[in-house]
Amino acid sequence: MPTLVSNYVPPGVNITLQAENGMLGVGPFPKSGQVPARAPAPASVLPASVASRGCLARRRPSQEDCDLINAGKQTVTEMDGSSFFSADQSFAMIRGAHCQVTILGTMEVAANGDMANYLIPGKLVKGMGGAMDLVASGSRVIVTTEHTDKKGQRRP
Amino acid sequence: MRVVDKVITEKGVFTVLPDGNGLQLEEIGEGETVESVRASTGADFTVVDNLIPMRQL
Repeated sequence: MPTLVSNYVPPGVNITLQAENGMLGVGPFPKSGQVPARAPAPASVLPASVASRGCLARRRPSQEDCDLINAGKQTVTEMDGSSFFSADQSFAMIRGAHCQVTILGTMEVAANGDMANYLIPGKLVKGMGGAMDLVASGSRVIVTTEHTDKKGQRRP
Repeated sequence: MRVVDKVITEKGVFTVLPDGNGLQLEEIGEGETVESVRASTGADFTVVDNLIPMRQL
């Protein structure tokens, strides 16, 4: 749910969204089917495996590119001035308190603002990811979650 | 240490009050009442004086 935010930034509002997998300037999800044309690279210049991945193709904003994803592995688009970087730089931004607001999903929130994101006993939970770094970074933390569990029951 | 500042769900927007003063409902989702939100919320919460419907873009 938190990754939907990039779809709802109104025109005229200028914020830079960071995806912790290594991107600043995350744009909305692409309109499906708008796949960029493959790079017209001669096979003699580039190995076929590189040319066929599409990452060298010219991307227009709003085009779908399977290599351009957010932290939830959903395809996103670039905004003007967006940039890409490695995980160590991404977490230097987060741990170095350079992000003002954190928006993340969670399993439960307690009345005192404590958050459960780590494990369900007996179940494998994937992708807790950078949540620990984000909540410890001192930024304002907004949790977005479905109100009830999958059965419509309240969360204890 | 205080962790979460705000909780946003389809039923409402809550602020986590400082100093362990619990949750406060400040916006309410479409088709919900304070009672229905209370029934589906595990934690107790207070309600802000000027409760408004959840704002949409």
